[in-house]
Amino acid sequence: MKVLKAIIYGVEKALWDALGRGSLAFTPFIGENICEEMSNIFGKNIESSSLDELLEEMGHFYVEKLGFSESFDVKRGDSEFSIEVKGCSLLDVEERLIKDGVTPFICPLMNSVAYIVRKKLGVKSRIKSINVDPENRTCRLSFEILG
Amino acid sequence: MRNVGDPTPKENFLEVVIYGVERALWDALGKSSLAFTSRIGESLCEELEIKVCEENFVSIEEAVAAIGDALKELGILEDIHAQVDESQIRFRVKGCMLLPIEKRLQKEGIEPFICPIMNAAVYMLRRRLGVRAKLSDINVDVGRKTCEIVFEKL
Repeated sequence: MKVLKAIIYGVEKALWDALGRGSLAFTPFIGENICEEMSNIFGKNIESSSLDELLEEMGHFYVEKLGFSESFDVKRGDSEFSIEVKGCSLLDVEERLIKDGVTPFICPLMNSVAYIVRKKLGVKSRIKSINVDPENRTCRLSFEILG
Repeated sequence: MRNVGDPTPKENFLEVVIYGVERALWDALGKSSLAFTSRIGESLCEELEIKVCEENFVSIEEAVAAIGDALKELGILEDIHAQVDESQIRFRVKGCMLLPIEKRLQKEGIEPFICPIMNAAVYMLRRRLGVRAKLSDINVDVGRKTCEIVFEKL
């Protein structure tokens, strides 16, 4: 895990240093590849037809099936939604990036949610903020629904 | 597939993430993605505390041997052999943890640019010896668990 995490940190830092916020444009494209692989390797196809169901299904995959995080709680508004993730496997990477002034854009949850919401529901979303709380080992991903 | 222990589902998934990043960048930027090789190497050397990246070497042979040993020590690969000639630097790697990813990328026509060996070597050669090198060939043999990486000196 240590080496793989270091690679993810290294790639993210290098791209951010070169492209700045432009790196965020890769978010859904990374998500697309991850979702394809989820389907190929883990046999996971997202089938839900509403945003609530879809987010619940994603949470189930990350928590129950993969053990990538301990919990995945969704809060929904009319034009936004947020996901509070506890015990994410990449929490330490995200925390370091934020400390180093980098807005994380390689976060499989964020990437796959951004892509799948657009692909399955035709809803465009944009990441508004990522707040890491190391003390409580939680991360809150806030998305804005566009259009 | 991996020689250095079996990947856990989480590790397997992180490998998927790395593959996803590499493919997304390649789809958007094509060969320009290769420009990130050295920068990624710099971050990686810092993050993994690969101290040889900051040492001074008198020859390319000495430098590539040192980086190979450091990566082996970190468990990234099982064995590595470097050969340097007038125009090329050739690494023969056995049991690299990212081998399955590299194979897939190669099949899809993507030139890998996230490879700890490549990243660290390119960064170190440029930074410590003023030698610029670019990837000229990569051959993955999943059956034998080997990978040959060839750099052309510029």
